[in-house]
This record gives sequence, structure tokens and C-alpha cells, in this order.
Amino acid sequence: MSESLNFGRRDFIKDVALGTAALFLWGCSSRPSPFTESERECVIALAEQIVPRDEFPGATDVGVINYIENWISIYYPERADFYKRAIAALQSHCAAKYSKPFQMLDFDTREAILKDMERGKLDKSHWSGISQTEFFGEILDRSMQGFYGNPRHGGNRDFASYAMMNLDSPLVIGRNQYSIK
Amino acid sequence: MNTHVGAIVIGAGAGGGVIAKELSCAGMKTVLFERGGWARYDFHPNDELMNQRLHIIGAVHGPDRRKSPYVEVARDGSIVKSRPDRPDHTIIAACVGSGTVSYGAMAWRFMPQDFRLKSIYGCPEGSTLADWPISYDDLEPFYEKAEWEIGVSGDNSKNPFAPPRKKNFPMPAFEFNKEAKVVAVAAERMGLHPFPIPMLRNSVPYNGRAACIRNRTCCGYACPVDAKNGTQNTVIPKALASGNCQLRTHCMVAEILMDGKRATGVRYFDENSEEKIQTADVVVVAASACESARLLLNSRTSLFPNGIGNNFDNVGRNLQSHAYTGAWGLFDYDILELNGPGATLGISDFNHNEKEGIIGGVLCTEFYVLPYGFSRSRPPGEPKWGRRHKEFQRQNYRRMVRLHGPVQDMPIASMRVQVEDSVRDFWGIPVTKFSGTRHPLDGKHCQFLSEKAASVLREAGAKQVWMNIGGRGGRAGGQHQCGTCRMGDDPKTSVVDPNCRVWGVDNLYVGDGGVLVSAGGFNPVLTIMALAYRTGAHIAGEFAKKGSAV
Repeated sequence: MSESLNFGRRDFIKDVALGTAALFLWGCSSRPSPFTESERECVIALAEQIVPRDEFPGATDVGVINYIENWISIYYPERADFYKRAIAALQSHCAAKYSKPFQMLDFDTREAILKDMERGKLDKSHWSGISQTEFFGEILDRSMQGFYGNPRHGGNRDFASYAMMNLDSPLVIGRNQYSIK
Repeated sequence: MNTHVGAIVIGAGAGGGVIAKELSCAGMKTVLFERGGWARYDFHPNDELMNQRLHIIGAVHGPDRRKSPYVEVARDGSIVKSRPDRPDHTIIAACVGSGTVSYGAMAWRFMPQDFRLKSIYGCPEGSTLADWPISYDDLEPFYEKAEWEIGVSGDNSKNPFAPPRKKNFPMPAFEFNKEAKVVAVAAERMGLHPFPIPMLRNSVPYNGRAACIRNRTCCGYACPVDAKNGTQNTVIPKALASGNCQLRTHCMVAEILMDGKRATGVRYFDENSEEKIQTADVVVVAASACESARLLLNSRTSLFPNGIGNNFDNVGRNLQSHAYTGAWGLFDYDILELNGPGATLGISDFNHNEKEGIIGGVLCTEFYVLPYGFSRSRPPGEPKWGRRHKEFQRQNYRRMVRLHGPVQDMPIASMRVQVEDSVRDFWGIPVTKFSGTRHPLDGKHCQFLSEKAASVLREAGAKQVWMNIGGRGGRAGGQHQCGTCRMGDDPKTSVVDPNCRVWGVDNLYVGDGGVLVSAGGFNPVLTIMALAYRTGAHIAGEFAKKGSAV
């Protein structure tokens, strides 16, 4: 073991320098939406039922739809088809029963539909090959993530949910000088 | 062509970082491989959806979601492909320091009983519960070394169940936060012994770095003031400063190369994905319980046709990771102050409750749950969405206390890591394949600990208490993964010998959680570090005796 090896600090410094190439994932991307305009309106209406506007902003106000679109386009493009087929199933149900698309129904009707969907109680004839409870779970997860998660992924505009919960945001601490908008 | 070195260490995490430091500071030329790079705080500014704890849409410290798929064996035997940015991934951070950059940093020593589970409790049917080939006393000096070199804040004077120690903690304990003060009074009234959780985090300035600033986003995140102690800011810089250690980041080791019964080096892909060879006198695999097993299984020779050290089909079996269980309490006043990170109080009275014949685990108050996590936590009967859910969110965020802990899960042979030749990762390496379902005793033990947690919260005055009972079905995995390369006295039933050397190979060691025989009723990192100090000392001792490590 007498070879002269170039061990030591140099690689350490090089690696730290490379690390400064930061990662940007800020929301509101210009990616094309995975949804058609009418599918998009339907998802907006679904999310609004999960986190409705009251004296504080709701899912629509804080842009939960942007989060859902980013979630599909960036992370789970393979799920786009499931969303589209499930939306079609829901709309087929609403057309048959109310002759209106989901997003045109009143709040209480939409809530009743979602409660049924949560328990798998919607008329099964519209849901062949598509699990309504799985779709409900998707909408629930995405809406909560988009409403309460970090705004850089598209939802929770201006940390509105943090403000509702009386939480400071973003925390101004230590070395995170790059994260303050 | 790389220059031949004394030692190769694969994986710069809790175990690998420690071993690289021990070897390089003992004079061995060492190459430390890490598949990720250096972690930085500004990659993840307070992002609850993207961190190492929840990883809802990915984990910033890796592994790379595009490069590292894996597969699960479904109940019907079919193979389901998955990838590491899934919320349920069996994730170990891929960066310098690995999970020690972003962990909650609880610094537990296992209890002496944890090393003798079979002797105390017998071996339940269907499990592979076993005694360790070493005792607590064998490991005690190395626990002490880990506590002082990495840095632990603690005080065991209030915990009569704490294992014996020769030297005190290097830093004073953290204070109880508001909910811990309430819980402590109640627990003492019940005759229990609450005490401050020992933490690998600076309560006062230590080792030239700052004291903790009570950051709320701590567990799952790198520390913005570097007050959390991992291998990346302690032993790895020491190894590099020795002049004997070269750290190669963004390098993926694909195979351990063998010449008969000796390891000669590794085949790996460098940061430009070019295939390279590095030879060495000694090879230490410390890539995490799952990844180390994968590497051994992917290294097949004529002497080891099913993977190195696997001639008795033990590599990858006995995967454990704790069954987390506990209870929630809803109070009618604001009991959380939210000065982070949260978890401050431990209760060890239910560990090794020999009267009830249950191994148990430590109970702790919880790291603060952030808004999204809280939105998924509701008492039974509360709506999971809608107007009432949103009201609950703002009314009760500061009023819910969780008391929970890691239950020692039953090791079973069928809970395992294999490799799947038909699915390859970015580098063309066969991926890990997970299979297995928990032992039925896990659910029973979880029920026991959850009931204890609930009784404490009731005594503390919670107006509503409910249990969340873990351990029912599912498989092991996650940050506490261990057991896949278990240590033992018998090559027929274990993978490594009492010095953590792979049976049947002269110069190949395992230096991560894989060697744990059982998971303990505690977070395992300090035990992984202590074992790594012990293994490092052993290899360095051989090196000093012979001028070469074998």
C-alpha cells in the first residue's frame, strides 16, 4: 500500500459545489393539462366538496386543481387514464340521474353523490371495470395534499391553509435563504 | 483502472460512514461508495409532501425515482412493479449520511434482554426469534463511542429500565415540551417512569456545531443549522480529513467480485454510468438491509451460485422493521406548543414486560404532525372530508397528542428480500423483490402497547382517546429495515459471524442494519452505529496485526 493516491478534501469540495445546482419545482407550471376543459371542471367540483369554502378559502380558491394536474403530469402520468375513465363514469351517472354534469349540480347533491361514492354505493352499471371507491380515495388524497401541502407543488396558494390554522409560513430559519419567495 | 486499496465500504450511511472512519483513521486506504450525493437543506424547504418521512410525491434524498424500481410479490403470487417515490416505499435515503441526515434522531441503546429474546421468551411458532451471538456488555463500549463521537443528548436518571452505562451522555437532555409535561405528571401518577428521549441532536453546541433551534420540520428533513448529528457531519468528514478515505458519490455498486472464498473488489457504475472495477483487501457491504441483501444475492459465483453467503438460503430473510402502534388523545385545550420537533418523552415500562410475556417496545410522544398529515388523523366517527373536517382541522390541530412506539416484530423466514432477474434498474442490475406477511403475534403485541398508551392519555385528561393498532398484516420495510443478513454462531442459520463477517468468505463484512438479529423495541440507528464501530475495530485490529486486513 505505497501508491500515492489522490485522497482527501478535493472531492468533498467538488461534491458540495455540484450540489448547489438547485432543484426547482415551483407550481403553476405551463404543462398541458391531462384533462379536457369539462373533465377539469368536474375535478375542481370534486375537490371543492372535499375541502369546501366556508369563512376560509376552499379547494377551488387555493388552486388544488393545479396540484392534481401536476401530480398526474409530473409524477403519475400512467394514472391519467384512470382519472379520465372514472370521470366519465361519474358523468354518465349524473347524466342518467340528473341530466346534468356533476359540476352543474348543487352542493348538497354533489355531497350526497360523494358520500355514496365513498361507500361504493353509486349505481354500478356506470362503473364497469372502474372502482368508485378507489376513485374517491384518489380525489380525497389529492385534495388534502393540494390544500394542505407546500404551494410549490401547485395548490395551497399563499399558504392559505396554514393561515387558516394559524401557522406561520414559510418558517424563516437557519440556512433556508433560497426557499423564501 | 483504479488503484488497489485496503478497504471498500459500500454505502455512506449510519453503518458505512462509521466503518469508513474507523478504517481510514487506522491507516487503511479506503474507498467509500455512495449511490447518492451530498444532501442540502434548500432542496426541501419545509415541504410536507416531499421529504424522507412521508414521501407522498418523492423523497428528496433519494433514491432517484426514475432509476430505482423494485417489485412486490402480490397475494396471488404475481409481481407488481413499484418505484421509490411511492408513499409506501421501503425507503432508505440515498445520500451521504443516508437516513442520518433526516432522521428523527432518537438514540436508543437496546436493553440487555433484547440480545437474548429466545432465551427469555422462547421461539414462537412460525418465527425465527433467536439470541444474538453477542451480549449487551460486548456492545456497551461501542454504544458509548457512538454517543460521544456522533453526539447524543440524554439523561437516564429517571429511567430505571435503561441499560447500564459506564459513562454519561456527552450533552444534557432536551426539555419536555408542553404535552410531555402533562403526560409525565399523569404517567408518574400511574407509577410509570417517563424520561427525556435520548437524541442524536445537539441540546448545546457540540463538535463545533450549533445547538438545536426547535425546528418543526425536523424528522424527515435535513437540519438548517446542522444541529442534528449524522455520519455526514461527524465521522465521514473525519474519514476524509484522515487523507486515507476517498468518497465516491453517485456510484452504484453492481456486484462483489470474488476469487474462490475471497472477495477481490467490486464492479460499479460511476457518476457517468461508466462500468468500473475497484479492488481491495477487504469489502464491507453497508448499503442498508434491503440493498445489501440485494447486492449479495446479485453476486453469484461457482462457489456461491445463489449469491454470496447464501448457500444456506438465509440472505434476505427475516426482514424486520418494527410494528408501530399507539393511541391518540384529544384534549379540550391547546396542548401543543409546536416548538419542534415534538417527540420529547419516553416510557420504557412496557419493554420486556416479562410478567405478561410480551416483548413490547418503548412509548414516545410523537414528532409534530404537519397540516397534511393531521388532515388524515381523526377520531373514530369524525368525517374524513367536507365542512366538518375542515373545522376540525383548525380547531384541534394543537389539541391532539399521539403516544406511540416501535414494537419488536417477530422475525419470520418468509418476510424476505429476493432479487428479480426479469426487472432491471437504470444500470441493468436485477431489482429487489419483497414478499411476506407479518406474524400474527405482531398484532397482539401492538394491541398490548396501544392499550397502555391509551391508559396514559386518559389519565392525562384527554377528553377522547382512541387507539391505532399496528402490526396487522402487511410486510416489514421502511426506515427501520433490518435482519436480512443476521448475525449468528451457526453458518446454517445466519449470514454473518459474530464479527459481522460473511460466513464462508475470508474478507467480506456486512456493516448495516442487516446484521441485527432482532429489531429491538427501539429505533435501531444507535445500535447500527455501535455495531459498525465494533466491526470497524475488528477489521482495523486485523489490519494492525498483519499489516493487511486478512
